[in-house]
Amino acid sequence: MDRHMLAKVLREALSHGGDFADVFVENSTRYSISMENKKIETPTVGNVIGAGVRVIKDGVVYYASTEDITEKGLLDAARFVASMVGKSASDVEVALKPIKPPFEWPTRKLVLPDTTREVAENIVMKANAGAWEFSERIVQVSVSLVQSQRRIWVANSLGNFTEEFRVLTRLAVSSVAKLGSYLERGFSAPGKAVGIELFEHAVDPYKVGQKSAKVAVTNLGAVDAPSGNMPVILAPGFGGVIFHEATGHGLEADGIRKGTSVFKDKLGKKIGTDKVTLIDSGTLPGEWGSGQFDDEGFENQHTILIENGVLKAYMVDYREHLLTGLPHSSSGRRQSYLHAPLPRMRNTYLAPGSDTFEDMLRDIKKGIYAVQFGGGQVDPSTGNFVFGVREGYLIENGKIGKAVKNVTLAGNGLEILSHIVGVSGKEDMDFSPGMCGKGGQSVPAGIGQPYVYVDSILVGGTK
Amino acid sequence: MIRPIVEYIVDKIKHMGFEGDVFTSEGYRTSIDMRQRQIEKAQKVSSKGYGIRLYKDGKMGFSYSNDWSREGIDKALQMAKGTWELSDEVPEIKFPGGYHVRDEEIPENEDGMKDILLSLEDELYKDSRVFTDNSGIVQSCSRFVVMNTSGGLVDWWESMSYLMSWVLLRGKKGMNGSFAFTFGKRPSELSIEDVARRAILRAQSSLDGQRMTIEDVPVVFDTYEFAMIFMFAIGQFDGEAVGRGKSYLAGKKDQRIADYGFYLIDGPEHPMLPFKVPFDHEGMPVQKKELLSSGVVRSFMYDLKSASEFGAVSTGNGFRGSWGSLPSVSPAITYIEIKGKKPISELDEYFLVTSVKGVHSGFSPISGTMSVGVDGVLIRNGEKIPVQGVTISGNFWEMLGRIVAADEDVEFLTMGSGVFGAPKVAFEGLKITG
Repeated sequence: MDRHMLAKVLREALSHGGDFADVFVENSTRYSISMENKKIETPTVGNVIGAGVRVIKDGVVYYASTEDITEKGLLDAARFVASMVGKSASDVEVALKPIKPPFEWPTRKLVLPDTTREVAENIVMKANAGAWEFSERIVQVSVSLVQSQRRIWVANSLGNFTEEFRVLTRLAVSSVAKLGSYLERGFSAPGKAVGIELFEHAVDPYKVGQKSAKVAVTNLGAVDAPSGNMPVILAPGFGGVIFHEATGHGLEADGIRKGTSVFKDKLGKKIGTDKVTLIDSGTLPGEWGSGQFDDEGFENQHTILIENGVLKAYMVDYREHLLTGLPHSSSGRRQSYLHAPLPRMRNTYLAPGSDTFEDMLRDIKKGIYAVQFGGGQVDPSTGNFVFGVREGYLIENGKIGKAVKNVTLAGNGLEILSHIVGVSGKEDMDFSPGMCGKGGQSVPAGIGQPYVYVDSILVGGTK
Repeated sequence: MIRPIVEYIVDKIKHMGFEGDVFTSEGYRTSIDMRQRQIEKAQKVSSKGYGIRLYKDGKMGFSYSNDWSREGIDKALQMAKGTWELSDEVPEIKFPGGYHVRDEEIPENEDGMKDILLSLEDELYKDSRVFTDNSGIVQSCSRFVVMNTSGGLVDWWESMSYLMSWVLLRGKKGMNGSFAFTFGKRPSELSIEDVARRAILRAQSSLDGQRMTIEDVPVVFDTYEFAMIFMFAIGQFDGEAVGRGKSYLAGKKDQRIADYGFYLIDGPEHPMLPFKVPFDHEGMPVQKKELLSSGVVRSFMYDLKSASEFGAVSTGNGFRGSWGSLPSVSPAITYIEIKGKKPISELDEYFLVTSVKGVHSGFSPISGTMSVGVDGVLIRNGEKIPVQGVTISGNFWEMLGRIVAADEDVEFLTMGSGVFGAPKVAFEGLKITG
């Protein structure tokens, strides 16, 4: 993508005024192989190109998209946006300069052309075998291997020009187990911002299949969960969804500006126990929500949100920075060229502490050990959040007991941070991939933590 | 413009020695977001692309692209052929014939979107408790063309407008927010007063509410909340999931699974709606069918592939999320009717749920186990007690068999690519924990 041409587009976009403009261009390929009924069913591959042009004037966003990424197509989109901005003429020169990335992506193996189809097929078949071979109770297995390859160019009116090639690879296995006429489902879906080399060392597809089947089979024998407030230990990795939901969304700057977040006016204040240090980072190599750059043409950042329980920062995109003066954290992300950026989480994780899982367990007479999670949801205006436990166990007198049927844990974002009484060490640290929805857009967001001990949270059981 | 290109692609498919189909869609969406009478965002986005399905020797390939140049199309065809080579055998698909074209001219966008939002916000801020809002209006039009190597062609478009508002009310102890929306053919047909009134009523319902455990009280889900839960379960009526044993309804055909007064219908139209869904995205007419009748499982939904696999006929439920997706079984216009129950107004006590959180994470349709976060209002002999931050748990399928009251009025919502309608229904046996 010629940056001199993009400079012309920005000049056109600002021809009727504006405080900031950017143009986002993408060329994306997505490759997917699925297996069900032990057969590979209709693999798919697709290619999408497009661009979005944005002008911000007096805080208002004017946005248009196009699928014609020639100079003419981009200039037409820019002219359309400018016509929305107003009628007064303005002439702004923009000289674009490439921005240096904060880290370099390693070489990533692509499904095509770097990897033979047989290798990709083998990953899917191994995962499928792992699930089927786990138990005779497994009656159906679905496997999918997806890789998205996105080449992204962003230019903005501050003179920044960024170019990045983002690769995400994810294997998902869903298993159905049956006992009599009762069915349960299990799911496992590791993914990273890497290529097919993910399956050379870090992830064994066979074990992914086994893990998925184990959840399904375990839940066949699960008992009704108790209800009421009780202590909970959250397992590493996707257990961090509690911080994504309870805290993360409330720390996005648009909610702070609008007064719709319970974390407004809390900067510098103690909002959690000393054990709570929460970070949102876009620069963790290989993690699901990482990128060299944000989606507004800025170098990505590593943002400490809460340090030892004290609120230090919000997640701020460039528009919210202009509107509020809050420090810009490179948090502007978008789903695609069809969407204007919003302040979003990247990889949100609780920094490790020094407690141990064994000590946490010993401390609990009656509680829940939550191992696998199904995502969650928050109302930022009240701070009330929920997240679902797909694989959980009773804790009785310091020991892990029977599996419980899937339950929801509910709480309040401001309150829960004062109930974090244990965080285990870095050896337990793990990250999981998720898709985060906001404002009609879905973006990849990483979630991480070691073991976390919450001394009281509402468990929505059936008993 | 589109049709000649689609014909070109279909000819290419034939020349390559395949059967297959091409699905194209083009849509635009003009929208304004407003808050406190100030525009936050004005945008116009459009999307136009195509998906190519190839079929031969029992194998299927698929690719998609939005590159409409000859080179782009040829590349997409080669990509589809590449995926076909990788495929195992799939059930034979018989692409339908038939010619259905909506010839009417697509209407121009209406002006006045900003004025409608300003009027909506004027209405909202008459209530002094409204602290802030996020409101929006959308005009959209979507056209799809599906053409196949059997000569079948469907060329259909639909235009829709939406008006929505999320309001945050200030109470004595804190804030509470909720939303409402409406939809119609044109912006000028949208009811500003209804959206404003409904959003405020729903936000007010649990304002200053507290956590509490409520025993033995029927639960009524407001229509939005019922739709969120029910549409998450509708995939259990997918004929492929049933046939492959991964649906709760596998082996339950002709069995009663819900209250005797429970009817679930899926079809192409409903008299209350200003539009129809006459064809699916494989070019098949959408069939009207009773999925549940008197609580008994009567039928399932099929697309071409699942119908072929299980010896059924497509019910016209092969829909795609976009031109980049393969068809999968999805509902068209789905609605619930409840017969033979007393109205909800005759209940002395019930818990009205006006916000539900975590349906995707706390509800497993295959087993029915459900545990979700909710807010709402406990109505007890006319007194209204706001409730916040509680959980509701139970089994969804058992819940459908425990209806104690229901209203007759059906309200429709758009949910993803489908439309869902239901009355308010009161269920017994759910546990409310606070």
